[in-house]
Amino acid sequence: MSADPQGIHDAPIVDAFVDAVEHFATDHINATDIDAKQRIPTALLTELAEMGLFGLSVPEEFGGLGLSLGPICEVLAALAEHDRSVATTVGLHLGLGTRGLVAFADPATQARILPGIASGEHITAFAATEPGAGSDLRGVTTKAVDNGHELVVNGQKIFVTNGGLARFYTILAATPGMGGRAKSYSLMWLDREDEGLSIGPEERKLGLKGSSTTSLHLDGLHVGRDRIIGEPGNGMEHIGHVLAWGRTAMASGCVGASRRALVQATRHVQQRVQFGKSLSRQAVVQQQLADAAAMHFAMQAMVRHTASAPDNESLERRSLATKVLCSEGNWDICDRAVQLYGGSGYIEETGLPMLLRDARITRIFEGANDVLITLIGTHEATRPTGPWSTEGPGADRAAALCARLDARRTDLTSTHKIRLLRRPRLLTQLGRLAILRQSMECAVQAAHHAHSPVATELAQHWIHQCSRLAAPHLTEPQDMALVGRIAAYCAQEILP
Amino acid sequence: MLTILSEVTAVPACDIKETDMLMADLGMDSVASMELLGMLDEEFGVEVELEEAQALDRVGSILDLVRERYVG
Repeated sequence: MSADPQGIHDAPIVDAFVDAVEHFATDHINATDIDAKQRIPTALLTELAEMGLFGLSVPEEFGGLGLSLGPICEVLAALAEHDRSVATTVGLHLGLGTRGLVAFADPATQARILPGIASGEHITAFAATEPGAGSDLRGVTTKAVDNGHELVVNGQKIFVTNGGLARFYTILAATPGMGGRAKSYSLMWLDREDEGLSIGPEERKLGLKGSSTTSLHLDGLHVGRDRIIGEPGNGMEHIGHVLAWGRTAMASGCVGASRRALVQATRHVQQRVQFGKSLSRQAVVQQQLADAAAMHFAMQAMVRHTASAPDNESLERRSLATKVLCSEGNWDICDRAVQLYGGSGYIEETGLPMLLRDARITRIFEGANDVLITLIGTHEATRPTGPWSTEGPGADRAAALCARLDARRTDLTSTHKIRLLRRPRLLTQLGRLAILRQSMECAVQAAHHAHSPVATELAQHWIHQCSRLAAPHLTEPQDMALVGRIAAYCAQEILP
Repeated sequence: MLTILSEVTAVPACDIKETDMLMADLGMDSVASMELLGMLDEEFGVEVELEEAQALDRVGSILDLVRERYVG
């Protein structure tokens, strides 16, 4: 399975789309109104469909544009700069909602449903999470059982983005015995009109208020075996690819929304005068802007690097760190923007509270960051990244820091050996260091290709920040016995 | 050993075969299979080098390892 490296021929289409999206969004998307009314106007979705946005990831033979992940991320970032709810609705459709169907569905299914998906007539959703299965998808209890004629599906899905808008749902179900496996899972697609499928009420959320989030109830659906997407029983492998796409697309939304926060905060500090001079001339404020700009540069570089992964294994591994860094960077930059605005940053009319609220979920959905960091640490322990080999501005300093990260990994693996894999706090340290390393490689590489003094200095400043961010993970973590005792006090409700 | 495997995978011990692949047949992901090896170390004192861990992808290969290294 190729990760669809970004093709050069896509560039003009991408530029045109990004321009079109920016012009359209400026004139037609009112983020404040969407947030207040907690829904995206139907007319707006229709206009986005007419622009062809819902078909970006669908192959041309089915009426889409067949763009690869890189260009799609550029368009989503542009959209997120204007409104995160709209970007989430479109991005979920293009990524998690459609990717399984495009990559793995049989030709007959593709011919049947992809044209409507490409035109935007039919929006898609993705349903994996259940009340008892979040980050650990092996806990899904939704079952599709073959009764000899067809599949009988029972279960419940929650937190389904686009749940109330979608016509087609890609779900993960346990399919016991399928593919000759003792324990198997499969991806399936369901139709909103399937008898037995019902949709719960819209959830009331902290952010992304305009996007639809519902539960999905599956009560004795009888569907054909052709509803299985890809190889029966191979759902966990397929979902790995789909989630990697979805995480990267989501991360591109973090890049766009962060850019908006950074631009808005910069304009504010240029206008605001305190202590006799513009805020933008205060050293403390300049530090905040520089840190945020460098982080944004690294986030964008990571998304582009991940989206152009040469194969699926690289895409899946890169997407983990990209998702974590971009979601945390999104929160950090929006938080800094609120701070730079002072008291008015707390007022809804500035739009900053909405940016902050919208950013919060990105650290949770598409794999909770805490779990992903541990997973990255596991990868780093068992399949370590090779020595630093990236050339570009700041490479020497990055390589020196990288050597310290490698030394920490060597120390941990030689001390704890296989038991390291049962030490989540240590795996978290390794995961954090691996994320910083990947971000430095991407930033240095991006600056190298940009041939721009601005990019060079942003990369250099990011590497400087990485030194600071890496420090807590280069030494032994805090005494776990003490941490455990305090957690026990919380559980016993004996806190003073 | 099969009890631990059953505990980690939720597949009944009687359904687990030596030829089963940890990921493809028992539904384990990379983290769970690595954690399993960590449990072997803690439960049986069977030490596995991290470099070796990648190659242990089948129930039989893990059983062979336990038989070879377990000194109970």
